Amino acid sequence: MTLDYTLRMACLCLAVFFLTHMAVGLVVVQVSPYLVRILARHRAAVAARATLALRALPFSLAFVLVVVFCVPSYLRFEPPSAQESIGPACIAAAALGLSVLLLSLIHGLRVSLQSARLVRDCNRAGRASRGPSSVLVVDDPSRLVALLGIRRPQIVVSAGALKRLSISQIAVAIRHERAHQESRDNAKRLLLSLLPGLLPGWNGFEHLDASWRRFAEWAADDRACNGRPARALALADALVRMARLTQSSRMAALATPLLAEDQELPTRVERLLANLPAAAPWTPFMRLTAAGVATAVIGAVILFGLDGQHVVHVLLETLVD
Amino acid sequence: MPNNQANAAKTSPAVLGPLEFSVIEVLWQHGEKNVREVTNLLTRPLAYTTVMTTLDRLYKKGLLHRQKVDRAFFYSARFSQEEIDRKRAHEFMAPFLDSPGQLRELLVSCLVDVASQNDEAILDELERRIKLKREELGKKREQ
Repeated sequence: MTLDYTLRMACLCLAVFFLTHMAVGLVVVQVSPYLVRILARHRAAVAARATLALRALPFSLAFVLVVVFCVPSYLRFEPPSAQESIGPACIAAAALGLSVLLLSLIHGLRVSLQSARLVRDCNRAGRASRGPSSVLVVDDPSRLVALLGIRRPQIVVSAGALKRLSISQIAVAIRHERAHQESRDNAKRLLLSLLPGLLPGWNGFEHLDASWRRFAEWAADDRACNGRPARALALADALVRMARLTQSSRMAALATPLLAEDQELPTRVERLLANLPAAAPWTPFMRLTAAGVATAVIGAVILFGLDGQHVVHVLLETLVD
Repeated sequence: MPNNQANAAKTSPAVLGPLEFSVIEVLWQHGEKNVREVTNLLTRPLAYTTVMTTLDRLYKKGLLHRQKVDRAFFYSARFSQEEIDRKRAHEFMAPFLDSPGQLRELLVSCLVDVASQNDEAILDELERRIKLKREELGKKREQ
């Protein structure tokens, strides 16, 4: 098939994106169970960050390859007047690339709208609690202590939960949701919704997504308790009491509830009953290492980008055929 | 694999008697062993010949690998415990799921009942542990 200059570039970029995303994604899917097991031994906040980075890696690498190498090399080496046909394999890869991107975009938009609707409903039906921390109380007998919304996240508590929990348990549950708010976990949930799956109809990263949700909960538990056993006990007690109430129907993919259906309650309670590590921030050494790795990667990309465009162009020519 | 072993594996690989289960459990825990070693590792005293017959029966059912080293047979499990449990659950449930609607509904309702009872039992146990931990902390504070 013969396409015009810009369309051919779009087709090539999508094909490169799909192939890179697929190749890196398959490696990530294969190694993630082992890495998650290793990460579970580290601090929950670090594990959550690393899991999210691992989940975003296939998209990031594919995107960087397209933006930094494919587009510049195409613009630099491909003569605008050249008439070149594109092979069926390249068109198929481009179609798959476009499909996974569009599907993830649609999914992201759908969960955003669902979340916005939920926030609007809660704001209409709920009343702000008295006191320094702004919490929305909704008249709902089921269990609901959750962080809702992305731009201005709001903690929502149901009347059922307030009735069932003691003051210290409510306080620590709210601290838990505040920890999610400070870590921007709802925005990270949106990011996860927007990241494409491996193939249309097959995400492939479910295990990694579930692991991130688990680590994010653990990290929020750690921050809420801050190494204080009394708080850990209150939170463990709150979780068990909440588990006895029915799940609220007011829930969305971009909401972070205190107790979600897919979480292993016994593991979480056991973790709280064991000696909790204090939620220490990143040490200067960790920050320095991360900054060093990031600088090295950016430097390598820039250095390789100058010489690598020709190599990429040759590869693109092969892909076109 | 001999034919009779393959056929047995196809028919009823997961039906295990109590003795067979304790023998295969030894192999899951300790890996490849001969008859003498399995006999010694069993928690209850059993005759050498009984263990040998049991191992042979398990081999013929297709649940064990065996290889001859010198003059002794060394046995190892072909499937992990999880795989066997899965097969057993499948064999138990398949007739219910293949049967007409009423039996299938009965199975589902039993499962839901058992699961909810189990959930309650887990929550009770967690609550008990929290209480114990709280008492432990209280005692520490007093000291």
